[in-house]
Amino acid sequence: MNKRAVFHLVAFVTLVIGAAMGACAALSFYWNDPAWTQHSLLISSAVTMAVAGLLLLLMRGDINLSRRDGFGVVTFGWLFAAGFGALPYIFSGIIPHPISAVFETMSGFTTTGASMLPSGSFQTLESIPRGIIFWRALTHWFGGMGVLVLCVAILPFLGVGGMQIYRAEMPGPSKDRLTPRITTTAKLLWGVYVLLTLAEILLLKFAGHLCWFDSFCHTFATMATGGFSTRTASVGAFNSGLVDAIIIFFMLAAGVNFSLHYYALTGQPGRYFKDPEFRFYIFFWIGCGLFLTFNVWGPVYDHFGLALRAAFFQGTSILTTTGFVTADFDSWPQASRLLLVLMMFVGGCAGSTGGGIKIVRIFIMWKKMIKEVRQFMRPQAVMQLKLGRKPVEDEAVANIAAFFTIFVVVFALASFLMTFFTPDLETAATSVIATLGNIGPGLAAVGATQNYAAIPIPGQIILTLCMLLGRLELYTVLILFLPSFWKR
Amino acid sequence: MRILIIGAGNAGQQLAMRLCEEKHSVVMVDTNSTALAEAEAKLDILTVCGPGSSPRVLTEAQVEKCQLVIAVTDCDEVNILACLYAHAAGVPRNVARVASPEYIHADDTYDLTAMGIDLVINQKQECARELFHMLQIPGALEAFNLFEGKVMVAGFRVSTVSPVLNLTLVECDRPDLIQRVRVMAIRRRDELVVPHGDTVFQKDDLVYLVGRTADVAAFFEWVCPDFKAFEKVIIAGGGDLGLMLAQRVEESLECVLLEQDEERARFCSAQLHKTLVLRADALAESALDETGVTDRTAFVALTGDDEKNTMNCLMAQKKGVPFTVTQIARTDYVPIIESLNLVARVISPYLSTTHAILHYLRSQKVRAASLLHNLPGELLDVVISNGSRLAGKRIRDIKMPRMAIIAAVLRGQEVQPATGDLKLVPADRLLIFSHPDAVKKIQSMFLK
Repeated sequence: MNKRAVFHLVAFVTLVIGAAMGACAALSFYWNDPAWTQHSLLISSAVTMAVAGLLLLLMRGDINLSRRDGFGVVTFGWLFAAGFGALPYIFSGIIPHPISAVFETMSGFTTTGASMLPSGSFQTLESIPRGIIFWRALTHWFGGMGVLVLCVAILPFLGVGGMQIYRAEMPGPSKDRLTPRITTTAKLLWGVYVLLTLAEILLLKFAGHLCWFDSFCHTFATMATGGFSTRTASVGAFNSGLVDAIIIFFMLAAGVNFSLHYYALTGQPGRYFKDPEFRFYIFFWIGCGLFLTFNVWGPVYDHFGLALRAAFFQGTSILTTTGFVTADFDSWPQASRLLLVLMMFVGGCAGSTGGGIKIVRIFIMWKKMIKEVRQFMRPQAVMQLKLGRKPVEDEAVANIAAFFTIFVVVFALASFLMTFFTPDLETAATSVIATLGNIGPGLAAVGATQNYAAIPIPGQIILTLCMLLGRLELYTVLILFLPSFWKR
Repeated sequence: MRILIIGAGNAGQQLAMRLCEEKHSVVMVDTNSTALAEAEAKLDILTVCGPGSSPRVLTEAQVEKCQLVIAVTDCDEVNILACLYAHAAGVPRNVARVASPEYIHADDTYDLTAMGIDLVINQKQECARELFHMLQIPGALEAFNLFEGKVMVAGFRVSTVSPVLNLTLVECDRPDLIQRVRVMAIRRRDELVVPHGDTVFQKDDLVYLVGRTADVAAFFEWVCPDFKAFEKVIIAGGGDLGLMLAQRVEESLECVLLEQDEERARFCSAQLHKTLVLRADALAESALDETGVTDRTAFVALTGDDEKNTMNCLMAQKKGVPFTVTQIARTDYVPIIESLNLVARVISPYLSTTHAILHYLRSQKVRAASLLHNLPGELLDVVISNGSRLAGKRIRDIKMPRMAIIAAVLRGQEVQPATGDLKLVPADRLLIFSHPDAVKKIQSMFLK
């Protein structure tokens, strides 16, 4: 690993984080937060920027990144972001324990939405100063499209290195390139992201009649498929069908490959339905939504409209790995609870801000499964696996199968470890999948109306690692555990 | 600029690398997905898998958005067809690599340039010309003609027996020869030195000079006493390149062509008039004995096989050939073979192609004349326009960038030595040597 180059870029990430904290400090002054909030944000920003500046000075030199270095930049970039991003929580005393603060920040950047808050002396989110809550939402927004992809977009000198970073941070088995140069692609994707963000903010503000603060924070959490809310009761606090509908729409959009949004914005909306992954995603979404609706209509909701609204909101929220809550799905019938947990494994589309295994991988594995069964009947048949009209190479299928396996192994191992720190099996397993899939709420003790504050510190460390593994799609992080990665 | 490169072979990858460095948007098309994956792993490019001559693939690569299409696959027909399609799609500039003389030497009705292929590059022809110059001026590391053959640029390495060793130009004892040529650049280890009157030539310096062809040849005879003019050239391999070279060489020197394949040997013999064609394997000892090696023989290995070429040269050296040249296709091999001093010269056809295409890309008024293999810098061909503020100025009064030098001036049909007192007039063609960093500055100086 080229340490100089890697930490030079990590310093840039840290700088961006520091600048964003500075912006939150300014807003905190504007909102007249208590002085200790303002100061904690200001000090955090100053410390972060100072460290970043120092690192930049120390790590000058060539910045040629090899493929290997790309993984290093991304993993360390995320660790630094989570580390420094935790400072405001620690300095303000809202989450005094450093590990818990890092958990909260990692949950923010990885767009998980699993929270330590409210806890301690703050029994509601509404009682926490706005500056901190805004910072919490902003971590979502930066993590959604990727802090490093943002760096690729704005740093002019990256060249080939940009591609190594992009490859390591963008989710999905194949990395789309909208344009020949990766800087331009990163710019376009961030452009689409910003555009959708603005659209949702305006809709929530003017159609949903939320205040600017709520609109911004909820939009950041929606577009990044994060899940941090400004209210203790999450989106349910607004109790408005229109707000639910707007958020459902944008959660769904955030779970779609952003390349498709780009094509639609440049006048090719037809590309949506030509994309097999998108079609599967929509069918799956409708199917699950309808099942949940009929399952909760009667036992939970008497009114069909209410059942439909709650089921689709919760279904979308879980499928896209956002994790907003309007209803306590933990008290729903067992079939619905299990379906929601299974949906956590699926996640959004490749190239979206959603987490999980990703639709395209599930889709290909599904086809592979059918193919293998048919092959068993006719050993001589030659069956090429296809995605839409395009053949999928065997190597790609094998790669996805490996991803699947690693995902399940990590899930099993982490769940096993979590049983030591949780009251029951349900909590252990769902806390792992809710963090590994970057969703947020699980079931039982980490369910819709609960939070993660009761998990002991060692458990928090495991879950923090799960979040990072999930967001960077396993390989990028696991590669760092190979001894040969560190050798020349 | 968005550039489409068709063909992910050696030339394609070299070009893509250079163009990416210049921050162009590069799209690469090839049928070989492995080669594309390899290219994508190390370059910031978009790749499309499929035949470059297929309209479907060209559409997928968004050819209509490109400002330049470069077709460098191994297949002439694919290259030509791709460029014709690109022209039809409205691409302003198209470059095709074409190997077969059939397509190049067609009459006006079938002129590829008229059909919209702006630059047709024949890799082998470029290569044969380069070799021919090398053989004409023994001792030259590389040599080529510019300004329609009126000016020659050549480079040599200062050896221990060279009469200029440890001297400045003024101290040398043959001012008659020195005044007629102009030293434009020196490469000292990895550094580029733009020479002044007080620059001392050191051992192993690579010295580049410009002048009329005859003057340069005379200068070389004096400056490289360890290289004697060749009497005989042995060419191993009767492929297109070997044949082209033999056709050029046989007019002035004794030439022997070795070709293994009976039928091909017969064909070569029909095409050649004075050359002795032997049907033999150049690796066989008996074949080399047959050719009659003397101490004024040059051996050129041009079989399609890099390893075999190198072995051929080593065998020839064993037999007493003082000067061997090998063709190397794999660009990875070039630095190794050069650093081991296995052969006297290495020639790499892909580099020639890359260079030829890169020159074409420069803007209209400043036309790049050539790029040197061993020198980080380029030769620019500049015309003084009528309204230019440089017209009427003396060369010594022009403020040139530090790493650039006016090397020669062509006025009408005459080459003028570019001394400080020469006054520039409109329509003068200048040959400027410039370090890559100074190229932009030169362009802006002469474009105004």
